[in-house]
Amino acid sequence: MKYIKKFVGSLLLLATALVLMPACSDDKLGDTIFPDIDETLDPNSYSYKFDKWLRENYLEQYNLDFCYKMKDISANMNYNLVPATYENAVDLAVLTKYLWFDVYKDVVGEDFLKLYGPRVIHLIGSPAYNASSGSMILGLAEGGVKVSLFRVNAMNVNDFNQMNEYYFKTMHHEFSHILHQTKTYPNEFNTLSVGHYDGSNWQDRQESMLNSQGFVTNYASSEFREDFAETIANYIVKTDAQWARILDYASRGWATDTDNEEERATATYYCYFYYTDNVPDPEKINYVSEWYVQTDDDGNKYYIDNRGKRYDIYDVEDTDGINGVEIILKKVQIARQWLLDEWGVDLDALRAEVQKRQLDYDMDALRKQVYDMQ
Amino acid sequence: MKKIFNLSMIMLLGCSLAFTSCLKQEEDDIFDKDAVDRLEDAKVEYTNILTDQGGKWAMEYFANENEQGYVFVFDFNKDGSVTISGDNKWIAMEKNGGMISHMFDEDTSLWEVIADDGPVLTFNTYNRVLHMFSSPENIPSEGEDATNETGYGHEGDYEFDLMKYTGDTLYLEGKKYKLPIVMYRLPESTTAADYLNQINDMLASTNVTKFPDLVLYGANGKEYIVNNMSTQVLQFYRRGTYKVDTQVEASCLATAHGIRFLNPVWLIDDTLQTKTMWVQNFERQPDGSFLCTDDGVSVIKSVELASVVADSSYTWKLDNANLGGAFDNAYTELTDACNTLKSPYQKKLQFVQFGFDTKNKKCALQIKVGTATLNFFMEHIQELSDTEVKFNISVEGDNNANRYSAQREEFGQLINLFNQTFEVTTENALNPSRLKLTSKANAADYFYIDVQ
Repeated sequence: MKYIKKFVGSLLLLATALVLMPACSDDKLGDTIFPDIDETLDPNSYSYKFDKWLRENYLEQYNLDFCYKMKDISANMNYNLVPATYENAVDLAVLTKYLWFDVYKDVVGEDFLKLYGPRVIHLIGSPAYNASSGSMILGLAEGGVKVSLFRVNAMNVNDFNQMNEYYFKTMHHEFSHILHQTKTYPNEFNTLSVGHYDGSNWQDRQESMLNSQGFVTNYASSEFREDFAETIANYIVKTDAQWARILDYASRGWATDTDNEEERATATYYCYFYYTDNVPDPEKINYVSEWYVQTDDDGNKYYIDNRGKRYDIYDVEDTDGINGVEIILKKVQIARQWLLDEWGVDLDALRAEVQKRQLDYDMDALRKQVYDMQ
Repeated sequence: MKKIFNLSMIMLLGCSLAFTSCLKQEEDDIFDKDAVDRLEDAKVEYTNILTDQGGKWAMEYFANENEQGYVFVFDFNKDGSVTISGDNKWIAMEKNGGMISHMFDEDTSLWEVIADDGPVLTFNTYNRVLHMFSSPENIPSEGEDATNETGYGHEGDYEFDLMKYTGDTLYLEGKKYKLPIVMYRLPESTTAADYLNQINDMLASTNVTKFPDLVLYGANGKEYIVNNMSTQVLQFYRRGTYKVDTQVEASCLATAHGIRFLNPVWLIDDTLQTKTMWVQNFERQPDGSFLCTDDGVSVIKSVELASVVADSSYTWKLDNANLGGAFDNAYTELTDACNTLKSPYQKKLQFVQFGFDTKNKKCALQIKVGTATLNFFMEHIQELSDTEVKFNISVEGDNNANRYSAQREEFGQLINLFNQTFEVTTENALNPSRLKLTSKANAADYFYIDVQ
């Protein structure tokens, strides 16, 4: 009986399949319901000039869809996001070409980004907030194909530091991910700061103190892949003065007046201190932020409290046993060599070209490329 | 066993034939085009619907279930641009920190009907009027207890599944949060600012903060108390029950003709959560009440007028410029009489009101003469029916009342005139802030009172 039941059941399944299969084969699915970008552009369209410029400068040259009209199916639906403004999308499109694509074209050659560049750049107007951690996502690189840039609506083209922090650094960061997702970087990099990464609290850790642990930013301290991308991106976009400050912080000793072990990870750290009443006494140390420290004509550092009293300033002793400068420079060197060996990219030449361009661009002239399109 | 086998085979054959028949019919009769073509056709069709006849639409938009809705005016252009206009408190908050209750703004951006699971209307570049409801930024609000909504914002949609078009009405559904959205075609001549002004006038008409308890007189014969009308996030509960037992909360928005709730609101009758009726759409009536157009019977208006007058928490001031018959005469005589009072102070009759004497903790007819307030004590106002009241005011009162009334009998004459039965009427059934009391004995004798 058991056997028969099985047999009848099998027959039923087989017959049902036979009946249904012809129906499936007759059902014409046709072309994809997600057609490629329209072949034709409508000259009467509101966005015709911009669309034409994007076609000529990104799609035809780099086979890249510069997607400024937000598609939420292309974004993570778990976040609440809004599209970019049309005007900011135009600005970011021309700046991206000038400060990223044209740089690689000049330094590495035209084919490099054609081969390895992203296929999609997706602009998103707002940040992607991680409400639980209080952090926000500024950029994403997915599968070596797509780069998403967030917070486009807060863009201020006249604020060079903001542009670097939120967009251009992000572009180089995400592109670094694309490159190392294609060809892996030396494992030696991952060993340099092992034991010092903190994936949970990185956003609350003090960046200047982390410099002394061998990280260029606090985000770099989240995990080694982000460390790698942050090292390259920051080396490229930071001005000489900004880079020198990172190394200066990296060379210092840092201390906190918090004894609580749990709070130390996210506590405020100081690299200077003074003694109460200016009398050296280990029991009377007061830490002070570098922002309040001044230097007199003789090169002596001092601090003046709110009652006008002057205190001599001392450097906090570097006792963590980590040579931050050496580690950062070693990380840069690994990235430099990897880019040269694996990709034929001269990191220093890339940096020099970016530095030259980012300090001197004419926004109106860049915009005219779009708005004067015929 | 053989019988079982044969029977199974017959059933199998029958089923197979039936399946084939059904599938054949579905293939041939329902769809004459494949899915891609149908979707492309739908995109073109909805694009034309949106841009035809001037391309002007009103959208009744809800960002979430817990917040009032807002109306936007859309001007769709065939070049892919759209101008969206709004006039609400969040624009005012954004532009000037909420110093005024609402503000008009418009912005132009791009729109498109795209293909997803079906046709989707998307506003895919930022429009500050619409997308502020989708932004994850913290919602600006006042007070130390304000919640930080960073990462969430209003959680409103800006992409909408196009569900149905019928009779110049588009039915949509927010793509992410799935709230129903309705769009109505507007005449080409519509001016966005004027249309939105109309909405805000409607909104203002629901501002009944002086009378927080309204009543929904249901088509099922039951009555439900309605709270928070002025916030557009209303609470209903069955009259005569504990609020917590039968309360239901629902968001609505003001339309050009009335109010509409996000979804049908099922009202709760008792602690067993019995539900016997629902409401969603209301139209403002000439008398100020809101009639439910879903059943044509249910109406929201104030509680009974007699109880409004009798509620000792209100102070009602006599409108001395609109007195009829005997009240006009009595008031004029009292005004003249006050001028003859032996008082070192100003003697002008300032006003008459029904209020509460906080010193003696009694309801009183309060007459202000010069700087003196005279409290003539009165019993609680009798409610003879839903619209009939009877006053019982004593000529006795506090020291001022007794001293002044002893000098002039006109005080007593006016008081005695109030001591009769009145029919109470109002020109605004929702917001009875002004009432007319007409003598039941003589319709020519009447007076108006305004809530303070």
